[in-house]
Parts: sequence; C-alpha cells; structure tokens
Amino acid sequence: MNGPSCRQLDDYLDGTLTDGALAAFEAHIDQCDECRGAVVQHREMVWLLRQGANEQERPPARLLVQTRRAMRRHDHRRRVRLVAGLTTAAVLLIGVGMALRWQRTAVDENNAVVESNGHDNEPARTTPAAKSRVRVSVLNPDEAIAVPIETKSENVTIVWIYPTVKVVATGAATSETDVAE
Amino acid sequence: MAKHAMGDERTASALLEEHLPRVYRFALRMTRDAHAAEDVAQEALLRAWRQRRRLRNHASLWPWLFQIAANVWRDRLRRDKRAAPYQHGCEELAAPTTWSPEQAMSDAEEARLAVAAMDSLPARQREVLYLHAVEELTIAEIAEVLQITTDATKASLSLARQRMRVVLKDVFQERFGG
Repeated sequence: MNGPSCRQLDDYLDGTLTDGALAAFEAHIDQCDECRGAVVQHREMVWLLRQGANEQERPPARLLVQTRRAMRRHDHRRRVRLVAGLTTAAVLLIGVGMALRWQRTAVDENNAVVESNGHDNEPARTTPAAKSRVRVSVLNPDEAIAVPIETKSENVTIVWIYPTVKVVATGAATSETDVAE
Repeated sequence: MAKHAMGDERTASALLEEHLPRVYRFALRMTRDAHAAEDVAQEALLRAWRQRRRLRNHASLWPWLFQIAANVWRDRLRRDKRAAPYQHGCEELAAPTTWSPEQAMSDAEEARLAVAAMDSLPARQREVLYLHAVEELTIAEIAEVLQITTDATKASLSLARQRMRVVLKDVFQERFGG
C-alpha cells in the first residue's frame, strides 16, 4: 500500500476523486490486493453500520408524539402572538387616527376664534355667506349699501340698508334709497 | 420541511415521522445516551420547525438538520457542566464491551458490534464516520454540519476508518476468511 495510487485510497473512500482519477484508481484496485481488500472491508463496514443504526436504533414512539405536540404548541403560540400583535396595531392605528382628528378639529376651532377676535371689522372666515333668493339692488350705489340677511324661514328675507350719504348740516336726512323687490 | 413551511398539520406529521429517526440516530452518536439523544432530537426538530423559512435550498435539508442537532448538543454541553465533555482529540480507542471474538455472530450481531465500535471512537471521529457512512453526506457537507474544515473532516474520517479496521478485524476475518 505504498504506491502513489495506493495513497489515493482515502480520497477514493471519501468520494472526493475527480472523474479521471476515479477511473485510474478503479483500474489500480484490480491490480492491488491490499487496496481491493481495504475497499471491500470498508463497504462491509458501511453496510454493517447502516444495518445497525437504521434497523436497531429506532426512536421511542413517545418521542414522536412529544415532538409533534411541542410543534403544535409552538404554532399555537405563534398564532396567538400574531393575532395579539395585529390587534394591538389596529387599536394603536385607530387611537392615533382619532387623536389626529381631534387635534385637527381643535386647531380649526382655535383658528376660527382667533380670526373672529383678531379682525373685528371683518366677518370670521368660518361664518357662512348669506344666501337668499331675494335680489336687492340700489338705484344709486353711491348712496346706500343693501345686504340681504338669510333667516330660518325661506319666505322671509331681511335686508339691511346702510346709507352712505352724508347728513346735511341743516337737519333733515336726505338719504334716498330705493329697494326693489 | 421548508417546502411545506405553510403546510398543514398532516404534512408536518408525515415529515416528522421521516426526519425524527435520522436526527435521533445522529443525536445518539453525539450523546451516546438514549435520553440525551431524545432531548437533542426533539429540540433540534423544534428549532428546525421554527426556522423552516430560512431553508432556501431543499437539497441541503439533511446537512441543515444535522447542523441544528449538532448545535443543540454543543449548547447543551456548554450549559450543562455535568454532561460528558465533547471530545476533539485522538483518544485511545476502547474496545466495544459487547464484542466477543469467540462468539459466532449473525449479521444483526455484527451490525450491533460495528455500531458499538463506532460509538467507542472519539467524538469527532464517530460523528464524521456516521455522517459519511450512514447518512451519506459528502465531506463538504460534514464539514458544514460540524463547523470544521474539509481537511479536518478528511483526517478524522481516515483515522476513524483505521480504528474501525483494527476493532472489526476479527469480524472481517470471520466474514472473508482472513
């Protein structure tokens, strides 16, 4: 077992020879009694080990049951954790959404108050514009401003007339305003 | 196992029946104790089940499973100081206790003797020999399972074969007449 080919015995048994080297070593086995004997013994040993391990060493039946039960427990715990996680996430999302909505409403209300307080001469932006089916026109716009005011009843419209003419110093007011319709 | 990552319970059970015996036998080689092997096999399969989505290549299932079992055993040795130390050296080979040269042996007895001889090898050698001879793993796969180099794997395998040849000399003589 000292020839160069004999030194490849372990590689052959390991299964690590390349195709070319494998063919050469198999040719060598036919010529070398020692290598052939070692290969035969190795195959015999492998066969005995497989027989012994696979047929005589069976795991106890309870191990299968226990392992299956442990896997089921694991899957169940995982499902519970998943559901709990999703529920928590949903609750958080709803909470955050509600908080944002509440905050936004509060800010809008604040702005409305600030705007109505800050500009006394101007109507607040949040005040709805007056709506009326009544059309008001003034013959001479230089003398008066007519503003229709919506009321709760559809049939009633109040019109405010603001005279713009100056009062004459002699006394009587000279404002002339005509309201049509 | 990975293929059936989302599989139903029946699939899991069928796979378990296929995998458990082999993982258990490998655990027996490492632990040389039936109770410890049961624990290791169960823990290994449970870990594998938990991590099954990580296994991308189904062809490497067995090396992956054995590697998990080897890791479980190493973790256990680290944790439990009372357990037998994990041997890496080339301890003197003790003859298997069940062997008697005078005994006329059947195939089953010879097989039992061969397994006993393998179990008497130092830890690394018997693990390498078992994975190569019984589980038919390649040298590269064994190196991956045991987290050693391929050269170390080959060296351990060569030593294991030499020792097995010595221990089983009488068996071989009886079977082949010399």
